[in-house]
Amino acid sequence: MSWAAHDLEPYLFRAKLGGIVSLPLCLAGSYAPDFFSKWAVYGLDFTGDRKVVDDPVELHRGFPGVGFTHSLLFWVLVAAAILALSRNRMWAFSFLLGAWAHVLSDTLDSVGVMIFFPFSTWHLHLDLWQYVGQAGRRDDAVAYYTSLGGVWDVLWAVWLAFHWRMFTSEHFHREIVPRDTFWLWLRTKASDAVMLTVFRASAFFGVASIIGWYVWALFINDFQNSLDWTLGGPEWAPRQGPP
Amino acid sequence: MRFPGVPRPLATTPATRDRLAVAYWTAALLAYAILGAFFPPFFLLGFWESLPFVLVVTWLAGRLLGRSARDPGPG
Repeated sequence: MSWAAHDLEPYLFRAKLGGIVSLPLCLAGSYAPDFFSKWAVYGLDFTGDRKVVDDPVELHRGFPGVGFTHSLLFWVLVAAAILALSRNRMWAFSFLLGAWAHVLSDTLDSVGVMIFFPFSTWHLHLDLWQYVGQAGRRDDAVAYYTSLGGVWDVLWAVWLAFHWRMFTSEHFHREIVPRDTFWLWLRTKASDAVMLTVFRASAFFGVASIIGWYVWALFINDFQNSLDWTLGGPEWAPRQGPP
Repeated sequence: MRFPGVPRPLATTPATRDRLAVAYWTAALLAYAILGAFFPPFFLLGFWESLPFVLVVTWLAGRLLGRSARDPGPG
C-alpha cells in the first residue's frame, strides 16, 4: 500500500496533463479503491487491537474479498458509469486515471493487487516494501515510513514542490476553475477560501503527513524506530502476500 | 496616487509576495506536521482531518498576503 502518494499523484497528473484532468474527480478515483475496506483492514483503533475481520489482507486485496477494487477493469466499468451519468468525458477519464494510479502504486508492496481480475486472481506484487496493514495503523505507519514506502511518498512530494505555483490562487482561478465544471458549480455555492481549501487540502495533508509520520516514526515512537531501505523491508515485519 | 483609507498591500512586488507565500505555507505545513507527529490519531489518518486547519490558514493567507475572492494573488 501507499500512503501519501495517493494524496499527491492527482496533482502531478493535473500539472503534467493540464486541462484534460479534473482534479476533484482524479482525487476521488485515487481514494476510491480503499474507500470501502481500508477501515476494516486496520481495525477500529490506532493500535489495531480492535480487529474487525480475521483476514484483513484477503478482504482488502484478495478474492473472496473486495480485492476487485484493486483491479484495472473494475474502474473502467465505474468510469463508464460516470460517463453515462454525467456525459462528461473529462470527469470519467480523470476518475479512471486516479483509480488506476492507486492500483498501480499498490503493486509496489508485498501483497500487490489482482490487476487482471476477473480474468485472473494472480497478484502483481513488486515487493519493494512489506505490506503491514494487518498489524494496524500504528505498526503499518512505522513499517511504511521506515522502509522504501516512505521514500516513494517523498519522491511524489519533492516532484510536487517543483510545481508549487499551481497552488497559488492566481493559477487556481486562471487555469483550474474555468476548465472544470465542478469548480464552476462550486463557485456558485462556496466562498473563495472554501474553494481553495478543497483544491489544496489533499496536497497539504499529503506533504504534511509525510513530515509528521517521519518525525513520529523515527523520534517519538519507540518501536523499530530506524530506517530500513532494503528491498522488501522492513526486515522485522512478517512476510505477507503471495510467494 | 494613493487614496486615503486604502491600505497598502503587505507585499508590493510579485517576487516579494511569492517569497512570503512560500514561507507562509512552509510554516503552515510544518505546524500541521508537528501537530500530527505528537497526535497522529487526530491529524494524520485522513486528509479530511486537515480540512479545518487548511481552511483557517487559507483564510488567513488571504488577509496577510492580499488575496481577495476574485482578485487572484499568491495566497
